[in-house]
Amino acid sequence: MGELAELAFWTAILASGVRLALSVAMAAIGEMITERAGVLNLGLEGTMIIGAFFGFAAAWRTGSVPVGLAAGFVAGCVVGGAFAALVVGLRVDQVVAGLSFTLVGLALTSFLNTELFRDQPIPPRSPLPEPLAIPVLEDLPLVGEGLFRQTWVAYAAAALVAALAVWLKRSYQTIVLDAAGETPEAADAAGHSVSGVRYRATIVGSGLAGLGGALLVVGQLGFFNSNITAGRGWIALALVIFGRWRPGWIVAGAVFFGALDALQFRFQSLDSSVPYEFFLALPYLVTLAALAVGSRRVNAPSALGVPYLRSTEA
Amino acid sequence: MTAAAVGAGARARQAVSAGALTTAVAILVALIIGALLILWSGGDPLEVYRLTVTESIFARTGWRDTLTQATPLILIGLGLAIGFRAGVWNIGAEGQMVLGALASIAVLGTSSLPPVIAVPLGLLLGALGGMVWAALAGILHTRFGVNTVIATLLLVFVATSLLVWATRTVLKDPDSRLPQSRVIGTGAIGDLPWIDTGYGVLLAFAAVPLLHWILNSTRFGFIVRAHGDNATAVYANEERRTLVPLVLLMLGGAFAGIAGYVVLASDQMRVASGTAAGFGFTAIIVAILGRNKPYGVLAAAVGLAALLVGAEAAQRRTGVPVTLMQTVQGLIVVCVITARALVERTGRLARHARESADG
Repeated sequence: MGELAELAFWTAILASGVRLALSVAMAAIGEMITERAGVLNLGLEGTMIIGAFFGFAAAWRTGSVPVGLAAGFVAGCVVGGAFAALVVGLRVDQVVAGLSFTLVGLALTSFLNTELFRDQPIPPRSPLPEPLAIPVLEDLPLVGEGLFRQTWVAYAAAALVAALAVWLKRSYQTIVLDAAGETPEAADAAGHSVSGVRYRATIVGSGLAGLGGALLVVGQLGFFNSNITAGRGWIALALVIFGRWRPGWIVAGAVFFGALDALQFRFQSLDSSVPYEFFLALPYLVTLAALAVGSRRVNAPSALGVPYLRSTEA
Repeated sequence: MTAAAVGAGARARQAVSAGALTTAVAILVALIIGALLILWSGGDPLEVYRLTVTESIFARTGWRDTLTQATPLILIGLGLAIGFRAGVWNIGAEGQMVLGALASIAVLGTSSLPPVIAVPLGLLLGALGGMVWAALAGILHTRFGVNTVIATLLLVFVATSLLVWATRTVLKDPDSRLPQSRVIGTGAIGDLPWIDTGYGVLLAFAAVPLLHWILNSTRFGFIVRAHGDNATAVYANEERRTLVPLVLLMLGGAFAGIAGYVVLASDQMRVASGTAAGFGFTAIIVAILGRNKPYGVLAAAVGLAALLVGAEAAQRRTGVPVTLMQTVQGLIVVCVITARALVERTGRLARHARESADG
């Protein structure tokens, strides 16, 4: 490859990497908020696809991208509320509840998809957001296309992720959030309702996961299929651990994963001596390797996955 | 027998029937939600459910298909349940099943050993394939501290890529244009006379009492149960910290791998992209619904298999898609765990009320 072609190649990889990263990053930030309150939500994949489906259905019906995104967020919140009622309210085992939510989410959206669009002659499509290039900056080498030639949805999502990251760093609520996940007894003694914090964190976190699903389908693809999230919820869960419950690292991890995914698409179309299946497996292998390196030095919330029982209830 | 002992026995029986009742009510609620979904899609719920039952239980082909589908679910469910019992979460049986099938076809696909040798060899290779794949996750967990849920699951995606690659290249049937392996040949498992289900079903049914005995009457079973209740206590008692999760993951992998060979050798005959067919994921529901107990796994596996077989028949006759019944399966789990938690909570509140009344 010539130098110019090489630059174009990496520019394109970075651009699709950023696009692929956004929905995963949104879900991962959501899961991080939930986990820092002490709730492990393995229903993330199911929540994402439910957000994706209802977001798509709303955008298709109304013809409006913002309505679709909002529907995805609300659908995620509803799922999160149900999940919190089970694991916070009833103290059901979080692993069991999470897995069953994922199973329901995948099967239900697949059923609703065939039923809702049964009478459509061709697979329905929802409108896509307009691209919005930022003058001057879009011509920057390497990063220009990736960062400054996206849709308004992508900018808004990136801004939301950034705002969440800053807010989580600075706000008093974060201290309460972390207290509920690290030492719930202390949060309780300080007069905060541990259940209340965990409910809110689970609902908001699931809402962001639903929004992540909607970003993928409404913001980028414009169509829905069964299993369209294809494991992105699980990748988001892995990213939370990989990023050690810190927003900055999680976002960086998401961009890295997105770039890797983009590379795999490129290599499938190139004539390469390495079988393309290797690149299909690569994101998962890299995630495993990253977890193997990173897991020992984790700072997981101490009370993650542990239901809180006030001493008066025991 | 003293009055107190009689009272305790009656209470225990009461608890068992209350548990069964709770589960039954929960399943009913899930079926009602399913009925509402069928109504919404314009179908007739009673007709769909009637077909589901008659086609899976009362038709002879229904029995055959139900047992054929239940076989891998029982095998995988048993292996998962024993791990879940110890708090070791393995949700990657789907991939372990694929590796079991790949390992056995790799050797048996080109050999012409007599069946007496080929079938046991297939079982062994299947078990080894699944075990090695699960051991990868086990090592990631015990050596590097990676969460077993994430490690086992991510390896499913890797196994799927491996399957696509192998059936396209090294294991591809040279006489076929499709990406699929050769047929299993002499490693094939025949069908039982009369019910026409593969002999593998006998293996699955035999494994149930065996695991029940292991879990409840051996030292190993005791460690498994104790590990689930209080892992720290087990480690304090000088069991090696890393050993229990690793062994249980490998055991689960071996069962999934055996299931992979059994499905290959009695049903599908070739390895292709549909080899695992979701059995590894459905088996998670089987283990949870069966309360991680071998006989519970048996009941849940046969029940869920019947539900799916019936649903396929109902889809052919009424057009209501199978995904509806998959949704109902998931809803059954959600309803059952909710009901169990609700019962536990009322029990605790009642105990509280009793204690405060006594005090």
